[in-house]
Amino acid sequence: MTTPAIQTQNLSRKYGNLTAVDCLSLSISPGEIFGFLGHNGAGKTTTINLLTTLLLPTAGSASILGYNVVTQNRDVRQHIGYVPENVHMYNDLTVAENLRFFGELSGVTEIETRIDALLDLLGHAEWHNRRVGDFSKGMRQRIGIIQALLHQPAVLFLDEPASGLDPEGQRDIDNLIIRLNREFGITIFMNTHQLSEAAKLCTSIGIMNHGRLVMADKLESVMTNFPDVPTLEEIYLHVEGKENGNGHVPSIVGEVQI
Amino acid sequence: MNAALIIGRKEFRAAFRNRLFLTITVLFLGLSVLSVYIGSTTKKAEMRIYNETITTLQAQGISALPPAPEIHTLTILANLIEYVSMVGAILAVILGYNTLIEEKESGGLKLILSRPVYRDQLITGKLLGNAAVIATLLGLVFVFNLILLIFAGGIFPTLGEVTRLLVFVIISLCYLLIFLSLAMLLSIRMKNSATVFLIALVLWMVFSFVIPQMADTFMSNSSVINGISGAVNQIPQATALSQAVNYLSPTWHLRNIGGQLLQSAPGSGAIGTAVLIRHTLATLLVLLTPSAAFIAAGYTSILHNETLVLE
Repeated sequence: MTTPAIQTQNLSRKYGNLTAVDCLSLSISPGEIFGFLGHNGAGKTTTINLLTTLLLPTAGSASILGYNVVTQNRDVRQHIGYVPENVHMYNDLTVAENLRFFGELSGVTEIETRIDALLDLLGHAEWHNRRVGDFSKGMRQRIGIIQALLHQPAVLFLDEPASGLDPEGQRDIDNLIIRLNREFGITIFMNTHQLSEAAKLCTSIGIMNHGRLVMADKLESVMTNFPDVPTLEEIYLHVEGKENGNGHVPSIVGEVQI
Repeated sequence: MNAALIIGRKEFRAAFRNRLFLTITVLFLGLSVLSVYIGSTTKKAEMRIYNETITTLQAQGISALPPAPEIHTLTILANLIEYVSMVGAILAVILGYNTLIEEKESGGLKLILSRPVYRDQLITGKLLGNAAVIATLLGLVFVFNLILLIFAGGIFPTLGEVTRLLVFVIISLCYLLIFLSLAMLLSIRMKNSATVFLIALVLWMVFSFVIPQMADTFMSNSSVINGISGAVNQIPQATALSQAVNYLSPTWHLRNIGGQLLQSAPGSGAIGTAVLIRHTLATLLVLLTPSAAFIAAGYTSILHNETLVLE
C-alpha cells in the first residue's frame, strides 16, 4: 500500500478556548492536487501551519510521506515546500540572493544550477539579478513558488496562491501548479477561497467549517454526489449552509481517504 | 554550511544594502571626520596659544617658563566616545529590532522555519550576522580615524596609541552588543515593531542619560576658594552611592574607560599600563554581562514560544 502523501488523525489545535482545527482526519494520496476550501477563520491556514511543522497540534497526529510532523519535523521539512499567502522576501537582495539563501537553508547542492533551471521553468531568467524590492505581488508570488521548489519537495503547500493577483497572474500561477503536478508529480495541498480555481485545478477537495472538515472527496465524486447542483461554488454554499444549521451534511464523517 | 552561518551571512549582506543602515553608517563616519577636525584644530590652537605665551614671556626676560600643555594624540578622537554611545547605540537598536519583528510581522519567518532550521539556529544566525555588521562598522571607524589622524591631522600615532584605540573599539563592540541583544530580546517577546523600537529607545535613554543624571544628584560638592578672586567654586565629588548608581549604566562604563583609553579624562595620562589593563578587563566583564543575560533570555523565550511566527 502506498504511503499517503499527507495523513492526519483527529488533528486538533486550540488557542485558549477557541478550537481552530477540530479532529481533522484526512488521507491524501501522492500526486493529488487537494483544494482546501472554507470561509475566513475556518481553520485552513492553521491546518497548513500544523502540516508544515510551524505549529504543534494540541491533539491528534499528522504525517507527511510517513514522517510525523511533531517527532520527525526535520524530515518533514526536507520533503515539503511551503508558499504563504503573502510571500516575504528580502527587498534589498536580488532574486538570486534570496533564492540562494533559502536553497542553502534546505541544504540544496548546486544551487546556482537549480536557480537557473527554476527561473527558466517560469520563463523569467531575466529576473536573476533584479532586486526583489522592485517586484509586484504577482512577481513575488512566483519567486515564492520557486523558493519552495529549490529542494525538489514531494509535497507543496500553497496558502491562497492566487490571492490578490490580477487575472493574468492567476492564470500563470494556475498553469504552473498544473505543470508542477503533472510534469514533476508533486502532491499539492492548496488553501483557496477561489472556487473556480479549485474546480479548474484540483483533483480532490475538502471543505472546512469552523475548524471541522465537513466534506472531502475526489472532485468528480463530489460533482456526481450533487447531481442537482451544477457548480462547485453552489455545492460549497450548499454544504456550508447545511453545516451552519440549515440541514444535514450529506458527506464524510470520520477519516477521509482520497 | 550550518544554518546559523547561512542566516548570519544573509543578515550581513542585507544590512549593507539597507538604505537606513547605510545612511547612519555614513553619518557615523562623517562625525568621525568632524571629530578629528575639531580635535586637531583645538590641539593646534592650544599649542599656538602656548607658543605665543612663551614668546611673550621670553621677550619680557622671564626665565621660569610654564610647562607645555599635556595634549595626548588620542584626545583628538575623544568625541568618538559620544558618537559610539549615541549613534552607535541607536544603530544597534535598529539592527536588533528589525532583525526579527519585521519578518515576524510579514510572515517571513515562516519561510525560514518551514525548512530544516531550528529556532536557536535562527537566533544565533541573526545575532552573529548583526554582531558582524557592528564589528565591521567599528572596524571601519577604527581605520577611518587612523587615516584621518595621519592625513588630516598630520599626526602619526605610536603603536601604544593604536593599541589603545583598538581596545576602545573592542569595548565599543561589547557596549553595542547590549543594545543589539536587548532589541532582539524585545522583538522575540513582543508583537508590535513600533512598541519594540520605542521600548528599546526608552531603555537606551534610561541607561545613557537617566541613570548618570540620578548618580549626579547623589554627588557631594566640595567648596574651593579661588586664591586670587576669592570666589567660591563648587566641585562635585563622587560618593559611594553615586558610583553605585553609575555602575548600572553601561554608557557610564563606556565613557569612563573611553576617557582613560583615549586619554581625554582628567589625570588619565598618569594611569599606569597595569591599572589600565585591569580597568579595561573589568569594564569588558561588566559590559558583557547584560548582553549574556539578554541573549540567554532570548534563547529561553524563543524555545518556549511555539507561536513565534503565528501570532
